[in-house]
Amino acid sequence: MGDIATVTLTGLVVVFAVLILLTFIIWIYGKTINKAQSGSNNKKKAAGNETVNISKNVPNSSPTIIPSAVNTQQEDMDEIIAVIASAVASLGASNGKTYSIRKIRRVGTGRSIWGMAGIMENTRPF
Amino acid sequence: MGIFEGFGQAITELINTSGLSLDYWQNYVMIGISCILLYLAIAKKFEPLLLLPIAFGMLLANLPLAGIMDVPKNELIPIPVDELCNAANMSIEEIKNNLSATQINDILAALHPEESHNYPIVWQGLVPYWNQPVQTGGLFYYLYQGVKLGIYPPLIFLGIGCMTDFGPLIANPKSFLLGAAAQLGIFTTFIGAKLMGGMFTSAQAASIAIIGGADGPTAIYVTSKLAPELLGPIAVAAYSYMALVPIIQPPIMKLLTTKKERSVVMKQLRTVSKLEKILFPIIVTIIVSLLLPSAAPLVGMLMLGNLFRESGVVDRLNKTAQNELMNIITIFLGITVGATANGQTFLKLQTLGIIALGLAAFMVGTAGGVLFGKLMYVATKGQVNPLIGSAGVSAVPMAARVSQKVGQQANPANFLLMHAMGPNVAGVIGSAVAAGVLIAILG
Repeated sequence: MGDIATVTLTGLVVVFAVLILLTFIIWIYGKTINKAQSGSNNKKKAAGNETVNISKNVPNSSPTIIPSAVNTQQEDMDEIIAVIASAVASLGASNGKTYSIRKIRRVGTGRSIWGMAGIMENTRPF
Repeated sequence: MGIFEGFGQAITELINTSGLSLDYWQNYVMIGISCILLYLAIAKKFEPLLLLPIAFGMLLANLPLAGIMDVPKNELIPIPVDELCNAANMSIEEIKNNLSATQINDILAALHPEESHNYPIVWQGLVPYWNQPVQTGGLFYYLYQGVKLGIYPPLIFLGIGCMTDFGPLIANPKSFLLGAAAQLGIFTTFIGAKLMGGMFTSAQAASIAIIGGADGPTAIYVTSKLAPELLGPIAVAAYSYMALVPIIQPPIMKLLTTKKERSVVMKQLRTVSKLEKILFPIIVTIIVSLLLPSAAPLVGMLMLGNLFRESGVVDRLNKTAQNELMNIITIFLGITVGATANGQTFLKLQTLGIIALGLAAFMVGTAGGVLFGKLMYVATKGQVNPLIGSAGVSAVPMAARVSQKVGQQANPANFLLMHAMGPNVAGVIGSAVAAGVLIAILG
């Protein structure tokens, strides 16, 4: 009976002690590294801001890309509308009714599309 | 008439020398069990990577007269002592203390070149013998040496280390506590096994209890060190229960938690930097190996594999360890562990005890993790979902998937998987530490 108590007590205490020690060490070194890295990131950001300020003073000789980005977004939206319209048209063709699209509204999922993509990416291996 | 008689005799002889003539009913029962396990592995996909080789190893080892697990046989041939002493001009005591086996064999070969014996020499007191092999062992006997000598489990851990992302654990180090709490099953089962009317010795009880660590390689490693005679039933029980985690755990998790607790959405984990991930295996190896040297082979190899992965400079080694090497070792480990489940040694009352205790170990381990999760839920004022505690039993990544699934049943928008991976990988370290403690105390 003494043997059972010794093994059980020693085992539980040692397992908890080792893992509690690891908890503290990992927590402390995580904090330390984060602090060190955020410090160096801040420095980099500061350096980056300086670069931006300098570049603002330089005359802008290259064409701006913003309009093309807007155009691309608009083209994407048009394509999505076309896909939805064709899906609705095929539904109409199958049941003999005619539909008109008055409004297209994005349905909220509670999580952004990027958030969902991140979760899918991180959980795929499991 | 002579032809028919001869034919009849030949057939009778064939039957008499075949395995069919032997009344080894236990072997036939084991062949039946191996077929059921093969069915579970192939049709139900219960841990097929391990269950299939285990079941087939079991099948081969139970075929009478196949001799696939036979131990090599040696014969001791006495060495002519007088001739040896005369030729060497020494007393037998001087020969024993001063001459190597090669030198003795050279002297005897010079005396009798026509019958030289170049075998290892065994001394029984002052009488020397040649240790002559008369029969080589079966194939699985030699492959089994990797299990017996504790080589395969640490190599499997190397591969697991290469595949494991310790990021969730580093991001939330409190997960270590859940990994420790889930080892409760190991120690309560040890008590249970010891209280079963002297059926098991302390070393055997510890080997059975480690099933609760839900870690096949750890269970095999501990059993090979403490109670190799129970390797077959313990390995089969450990892997069977690991495959049954999705069935065993959910009822316990639901029983011990309220719907409100199961619905808790946990805060997103912070991003873990590359440097933290590289330092983690080094720090864990140093701390665990210093405190508990007996856990060093398992934890050390696990962390070496993880360093291969995180360092990013040994991509070839990383790929080899987690693919080719791990697959080869899995084959060897599976078939040889299965081959230890021989009918004569497996079909005993003890085996039923091991299977019952193994289930109890899994259940108590799950309960321990969930209850500690509840404690953390209270301590953090509802920020921790207790369901992640059950993943602390190891069984990577199955137990974490179960936490995710049960959590989503209570709150479909909840994603607990990455939170559960923290306790899950902590459970691997926890069970390796528990194994080290048991080996250190009882080994």
